[in-house]
Amino acid sequence: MTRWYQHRFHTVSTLRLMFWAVARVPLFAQPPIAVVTALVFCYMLKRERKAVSRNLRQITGSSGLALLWKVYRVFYTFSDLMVSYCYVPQATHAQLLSMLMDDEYGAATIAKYLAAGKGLILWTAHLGNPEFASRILEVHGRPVNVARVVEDQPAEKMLRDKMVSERLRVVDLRAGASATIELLQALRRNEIVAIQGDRVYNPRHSIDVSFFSKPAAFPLGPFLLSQVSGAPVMPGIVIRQGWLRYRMLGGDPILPGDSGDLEADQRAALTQAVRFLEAQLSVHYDQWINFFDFWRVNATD
Amino acid sequence: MENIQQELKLIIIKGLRIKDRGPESLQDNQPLLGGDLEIDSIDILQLILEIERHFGIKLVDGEFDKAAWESINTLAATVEDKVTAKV
Repeated sequence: MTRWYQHRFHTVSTLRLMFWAVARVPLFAQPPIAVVTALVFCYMLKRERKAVSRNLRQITGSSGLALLWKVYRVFYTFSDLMVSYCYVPQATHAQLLSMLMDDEYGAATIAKYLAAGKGLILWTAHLGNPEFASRILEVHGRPVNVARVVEDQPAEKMLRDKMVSERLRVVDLRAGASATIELLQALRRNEIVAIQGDRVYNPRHSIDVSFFSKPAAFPLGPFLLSQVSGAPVMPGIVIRQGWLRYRMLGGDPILPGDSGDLEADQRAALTQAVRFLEAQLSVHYDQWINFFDFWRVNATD
Repeated sequence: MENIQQELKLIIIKGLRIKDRGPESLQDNQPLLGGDLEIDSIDILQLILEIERHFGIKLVDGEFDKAAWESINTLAATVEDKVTAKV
């Protein structure tokens, strides 16, 4: 188990059933239904529940009932994420903005860096609602390129296809060199690239960073891309603040140093981003949607 | 062109942090993608970074030209074109 979508309910028919049902349930009735469905899935998906438990124990130090309650809340967040696929992909920019609890979401910072003409790399994570994060970036009038691995899995492709549009492209990292060149080209056209920073797709290009006092591997790729393109890396996440209500939290944009040691500069920049993630997870641990044992999977040894 | 090939070989050895062989072991027709150097998508970025900084050119400014990355020879020819165009 290395991917959240590998659980047995991640199928096209389950997704279709969910989308069909959500479309028929008024918005006010969705949260109470999610309370029950999250409970059911938390009970049924034993392996995933255990993995989330291990992750949250590492982050919060909780145990017993307190830990179980936190684990349940991850499943509830996941319900919100899945339901959001019924609204977020087709929402207009005005509708997306109305789903934000806070007008200030780092828009000025993003606009400032885009004005420099070198593009922007959003370093995000499977925290809160990464799909909403990708879409809200479109508001800046530049195409958004989401870098991810698209597995040969029908349900995964279905979700990908729901998200893509003229303004939002998914760059499949399995395409190898042409994918990374495509991302570089996008930045050189002053576009936005969004990358999941807490996923290691190529262990050869990751390094261990202390993460909640335990080493975990994180990819260096985004920071190398930044060095080549000159685009700053902005750590940013969208957290859930209520049912289908979100808040964007952005860190200070990071530009890898120029010490002459490229790898040391990448390492320093990555560490800064991981510290941002750590700080956010300390508060929003119940929104980290990783249904696998993060420290075991993200181990380089 | 020969100078560029030699410089590229040095960049490849340094950029890919190859420890068990030197630049002299690389042939001019050494395949870059899919060869025994096992250059992957991130290695390519590393090489682009080193080559662009070393030669002061923009190696990537259009669609991905896979043919340019076929061998050291083809990459050297591309770099030479860019360097000439810059002058």
